[in-house]
Amino acid sequence: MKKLLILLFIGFTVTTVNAQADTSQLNGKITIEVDGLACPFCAYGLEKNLKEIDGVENIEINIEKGSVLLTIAERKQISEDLILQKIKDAGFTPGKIKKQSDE
Amino acid sequence: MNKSLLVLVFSLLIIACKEKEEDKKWTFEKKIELPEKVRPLALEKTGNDIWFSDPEQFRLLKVDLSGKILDSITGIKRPMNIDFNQGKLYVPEFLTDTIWVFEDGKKSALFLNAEPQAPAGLNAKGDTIAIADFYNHRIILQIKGQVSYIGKEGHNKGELYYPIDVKIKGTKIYVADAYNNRVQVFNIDGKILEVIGEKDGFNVASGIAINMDGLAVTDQENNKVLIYNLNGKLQQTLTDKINYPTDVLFDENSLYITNFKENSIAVYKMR
Repeated sequence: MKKLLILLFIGFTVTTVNAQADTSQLNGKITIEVDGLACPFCAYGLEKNLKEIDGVENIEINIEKGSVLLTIAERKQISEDLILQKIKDAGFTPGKIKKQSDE
Repeated sequence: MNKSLLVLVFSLLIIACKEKEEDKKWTFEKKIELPEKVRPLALEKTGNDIWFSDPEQFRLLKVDLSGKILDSITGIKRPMNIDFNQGKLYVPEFLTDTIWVFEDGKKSALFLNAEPQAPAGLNAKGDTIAIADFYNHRIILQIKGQVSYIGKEGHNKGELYYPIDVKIKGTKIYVADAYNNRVQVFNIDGKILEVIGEKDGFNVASGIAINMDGLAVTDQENNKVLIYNLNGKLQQTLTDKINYPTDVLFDENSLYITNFKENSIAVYKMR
C-alpha cells in the first residue's frame, strides 16, 4: 500500500512537471520574428511549413520586416514548441514570439 | 609584294574586329518601372512583352517594355521561376507543389510522374521538362513522361542544396545550386560535368539564363549578376541598378534582370 502511494505520488509529480513544461499553448494572433527571412524562396518555404500545422487559419509573411503573423483558428491552441520546430525544419532560427495580447 | 600587303591588311582587319568583339560589354540601359506594390521574382519574354511572377501578390503580370500592364493571372499560391516554351506559359506554384500550364487562355495542371516539394523553377524544351525541387534538393527530369532525378542533398560536387532554377541546353542541365552558392552542370544521366562560380563569392545563386556565348547568374544577396562564357570563365560582373536580383533573361542584345526588392526590371544592352 505504501509502495502504491509512493508510485502514485511520483506519477502525480511527473504529470505536474510535464504540464508545467507544456504551458506555452498559443492562440489568437501571434507575431514571430525570424532571422534570414529576406529571401523570398525561404520565406515562402516557411509559410508552407507553418500551413501544415493543424489550427493555423492564416499566415502573413512580411519579408521586409522579417516577421510572420500567424492567426490561430478560434477555439484552437498550438504549442509554441511545435511552431518553433516547424521554423527550424524550414531552415530558420526563430526569434521572439509575441502574442497579440502582449502588444 | 602586293599579295603580302593584302595578307597584312586582311590580318589587321581580323585582329581589329576580334578586339572590337571582345571589347563588347553589358551596359545598363534603363529600368522598366512597375506599379508600386509589385515585386518581380522571375520573368519570361513573350514576343515584345514580358510576363513575370509577383508572388507577394499571388499573381503573374504581363507588361510591355514601358511597364504598362497588359494582362494578369491571379490566385496563384506563390508563383516562382516561370518558363515560356512553344506557346505555353509554365508556372510552378510553390505552396501547392503544382505546375500550371497556361495556353490560349486555358489553365491546366502539368502531369508529373514525381512529387516535388516546393517547385522553385523549371525549364521546358519539347518533351523534356526539368524542375528545381527546392525542399528535396534535387532536379526532377521528365522526358516523355519518364522521370529521373539529378542530385541529392549535400555540399559535395554533384550534390545540391536548395536548388532554385534550372536550364536545359542541348544535353546539359544547368542548375542554380542556390545555397551551395554555385552553378552545377550535369548531363541528362545526372553525371556532374562542371561546377561554375564556386570561388566567385556568391551568396545565393538563384537565377540562370543561357545564350550562345555563355550564361548569366544572379547573386541574389550581393546584388550582382555574373556573366560567364560557356567554359565557365567569369567575363563580367554587373552591379549597376541591380537590387536583389532573383532572375535574369537573355533576349538577343538585351539582358533583363528582376529587382525583387523594388518595383522594377533592369535592362542591360551589349555594347
